[in-house]
Amino acid sequence: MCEVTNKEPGSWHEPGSYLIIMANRKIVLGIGNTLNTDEGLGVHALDGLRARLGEIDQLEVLDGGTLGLNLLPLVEEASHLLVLDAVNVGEPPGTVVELAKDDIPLFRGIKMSDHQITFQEVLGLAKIRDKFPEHLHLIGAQPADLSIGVGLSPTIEAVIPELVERTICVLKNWGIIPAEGKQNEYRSYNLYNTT
Amino acid sequence: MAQRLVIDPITRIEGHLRIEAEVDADNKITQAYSSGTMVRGIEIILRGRDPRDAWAFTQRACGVCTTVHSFASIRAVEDALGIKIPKAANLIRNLMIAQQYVHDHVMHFYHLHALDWVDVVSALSADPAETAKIQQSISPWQNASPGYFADIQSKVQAIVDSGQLSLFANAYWGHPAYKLPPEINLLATAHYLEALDWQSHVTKIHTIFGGKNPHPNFVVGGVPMPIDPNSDTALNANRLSIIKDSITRMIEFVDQVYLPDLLAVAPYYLDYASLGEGLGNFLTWGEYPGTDNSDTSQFLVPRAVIVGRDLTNIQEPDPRDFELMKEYIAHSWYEYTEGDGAGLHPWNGETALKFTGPQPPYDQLQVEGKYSWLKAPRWNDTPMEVGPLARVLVMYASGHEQTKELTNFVLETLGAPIEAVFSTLGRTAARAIETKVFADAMLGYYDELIETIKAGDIDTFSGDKWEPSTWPKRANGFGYMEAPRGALGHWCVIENGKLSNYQMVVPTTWNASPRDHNGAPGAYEASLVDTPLAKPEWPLEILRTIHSFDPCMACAIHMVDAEGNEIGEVATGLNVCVR
Repeated sequence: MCEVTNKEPGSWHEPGSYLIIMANRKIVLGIGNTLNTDEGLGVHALDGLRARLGEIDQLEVLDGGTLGLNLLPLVEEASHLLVLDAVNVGEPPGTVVELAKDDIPLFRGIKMSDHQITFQEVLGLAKIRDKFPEHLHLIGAQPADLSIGVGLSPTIEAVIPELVERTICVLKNWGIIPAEGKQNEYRSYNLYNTT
Repeated sequence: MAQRLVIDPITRIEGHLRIEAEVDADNKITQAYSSGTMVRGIEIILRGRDPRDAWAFTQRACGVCTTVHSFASIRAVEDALGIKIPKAANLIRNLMIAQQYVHDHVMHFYHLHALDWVDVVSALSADPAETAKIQQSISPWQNASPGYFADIQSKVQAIVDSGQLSLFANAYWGHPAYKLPPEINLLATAHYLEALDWQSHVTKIHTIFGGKNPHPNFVVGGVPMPIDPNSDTALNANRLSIIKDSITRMIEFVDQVYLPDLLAVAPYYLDYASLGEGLGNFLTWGEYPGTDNSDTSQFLVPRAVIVGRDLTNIQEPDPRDFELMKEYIAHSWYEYTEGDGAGLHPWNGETALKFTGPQPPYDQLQVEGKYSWLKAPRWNDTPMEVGPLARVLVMYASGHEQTKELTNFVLETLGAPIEAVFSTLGRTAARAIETKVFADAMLGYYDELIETIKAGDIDTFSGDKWEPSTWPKRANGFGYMEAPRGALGHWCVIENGKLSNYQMVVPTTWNASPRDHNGAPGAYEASLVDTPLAKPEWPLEILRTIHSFDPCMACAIHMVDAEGNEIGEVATGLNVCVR
């Protein structure tokens, strides 16, 4: 497969070629359904991140919604992928969860509809295709409310700043944004209970 | 590594589908019931909002169908306000819509439906040289050497050995209803993997036209991307050349991979050319407008209704007809102010939830009462099938030359009579046929767009009715969209600049509809009746027919015997399709 390397994020390939595949993208990807309250917390967290960081050279902050398999090209083009998502770990609502690359389970069950391809399945496909992001990290939270609605529950609203801080911490560790002082020391933990 | 947590993905689909089927002593289905087990509340969310923003909410209503719900929404608002969009905007929309079809249908065929027919494990025992011979005999596709197929085989072997693959692991491998020789299984498996690479190249058209991806932008009154040959940020020659190349790549894959594969697989499953028909009634809202987005006479896919298989007498349905277009709730968990027997036109539609079912988990639906979160949409009190088969039949019946040629070609190749189209296999073949028609149509839209730009007609946005001060006090709008999985309609009512009602009747609501006030079943329910099951505890045959509709929801299937005893619960028993 022919790939264009060293392209800047978001830049267009030269005219005359349809190969607008990019490589080495550095992406923060928020996923989830913003019509089901906390299910969309990953997408909502992006707003907090943008407000904190502004535009960062070489960093794409993307709303992946519920696009499932359509996100595969993006995953495969990323060298650094940080995923923000609602996760169910059976812990109290608002529990913040952080999973390092090797701890993210790949694949789940079998699909009945194109619509139910989970993000883990997308990661699994990237893996078997040998196009797994070199750097991968997941930050999420246990949702409090999945009912119909476009905002976040107060419980989750309250943990968004922490999701943003942890995201920034990972980005610093990856060298995507400059680290300053000791406070940016990378902490690795699978499950972190905020309460 | 430390203790591994079990993390269940939170469901992010619009709802779940549950099928309950009753079988007789010969394992033949006698009755089937289709239930949507999750409510979709988009209508509630939209009340009181600015109609120009509605698309940004509707696009999230349904997992991956973001584009279709955006288009239906902006068209509904344009219809309400009498906005005609510029010619170039219509052409750009047509290109985006056609791209969506080609992408969606190819992915459906290889990544959802194929595993109903293709036994991946059997591919491991195929002879790569023989597979290469078959490939070379059916198409000029480049990847056709014995070495290539041997590589695929070792890749699949590695996946199987790694044990890390629910991708291929949990299907019904070895089920007696799989009929393909190992070589065809290997061929299809190779293309399953190739289609993943292909999609990288074809999805980015939306980035260009929509300004960003994922989730491109849409705008009431046109398209958000301006045309300016002298601007780097507008639609210019460079970007147009990317689009042209992408179209070429789509057509190539459809011609050389998708269609030949369909014709290679279908002969082994001709029993499905007489199974799974269902209703014999079909509805399309139509698609691909000409210069005027509201003139149905210029549509490539006509707006039409077919009743009782009668292709000689197709009628154009009027979505504004308060008497003929209705949604019923006799078997749905809603209440109407006029009572359960009433039917409401979507402009008068009500979304008042009233769950009366058993608390989950439950063994069986109470099908004599309410049993679904889907309403029962009906045209002239008649249940309808929507989707690729409806569109191909409508184009066929209205004399679309290429559709007729392709349909006749497929039928001749399979040695099947015209009646064979009314079936599970017919639905699957129709999807491939329309993919070819729409992929080719893209070239025409592209050329027309170039001519339009050359002629200086570069407006892509009509803004004269953008301001709410220009709107009437009250207006009703209908937004049509032939989504890949079928006719989609958005009905909106705008009052004093805000949405006072918004109702979406989505393709899966038509097809997966429960029974209506007359007890008439929906398309899924009707299509499963009389299907024989080789192993009722592994109802692969049901999956084939339901998948042929391309359902918009996850599904759980429950089987009961004649006495009402549960004989299999696919969802939990076999770890199929729960999520």
